[in-house]
Amino acid sequence: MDIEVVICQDGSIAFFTRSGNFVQGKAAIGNLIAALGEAGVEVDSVSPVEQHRHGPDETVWSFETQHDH
Amino acid sequence: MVCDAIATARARVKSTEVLKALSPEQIGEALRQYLIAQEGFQSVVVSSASNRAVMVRVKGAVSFEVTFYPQTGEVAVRSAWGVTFNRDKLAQVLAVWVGQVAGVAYQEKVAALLSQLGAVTSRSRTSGHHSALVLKLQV
Repeated sequence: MDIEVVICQDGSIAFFTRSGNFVQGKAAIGNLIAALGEAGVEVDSVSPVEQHRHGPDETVWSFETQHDH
Repeated sequence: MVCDAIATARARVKSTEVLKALSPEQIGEALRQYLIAQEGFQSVVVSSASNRAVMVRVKGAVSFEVTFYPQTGEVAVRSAWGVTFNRDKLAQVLAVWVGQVAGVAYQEKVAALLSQLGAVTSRSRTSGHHSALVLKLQV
């Protein structure tokens, strides 16, 4: 699992996963934050792990199978 | 076709925790270097440094004492006589300066810990005054 970590000077840290699926990414980020805490980087607040999707607009539609009455 | 989902999260530590990336001695040295390099004072010594307080003494045409409290990030400036300069402004500037120096030290501390938790495949800094350190980690 690849994780991108952006460390800012004001104490904020952002985590991004760019491989696998959301469940895997969420677990990986959670494990990493916990490991940092055990190593002495105590976080004061953590946002919920969020899911983002993006790509060409025409790919975001989903279609249900049509049926006749 | 839908692109791969991306998981994101943001964490934050208190600014006082960021200050802990610097030792009291390093804080004293940061204050001393700032007062010499940026403010032009020539006689600047760190008179004491502990986790409770860091004291820096300046002697010259204007003599004063700076006390930095690492546990709160507060700065106090006391002059020997009268108010010959803007003490509040100097205290504010010094607090910001120490915060910035601590911020860089904190980034390096977190990066070092992350390198022990996974393989660092990329490391870079964004541009700007408060640049962010960006690591790509394989866990």
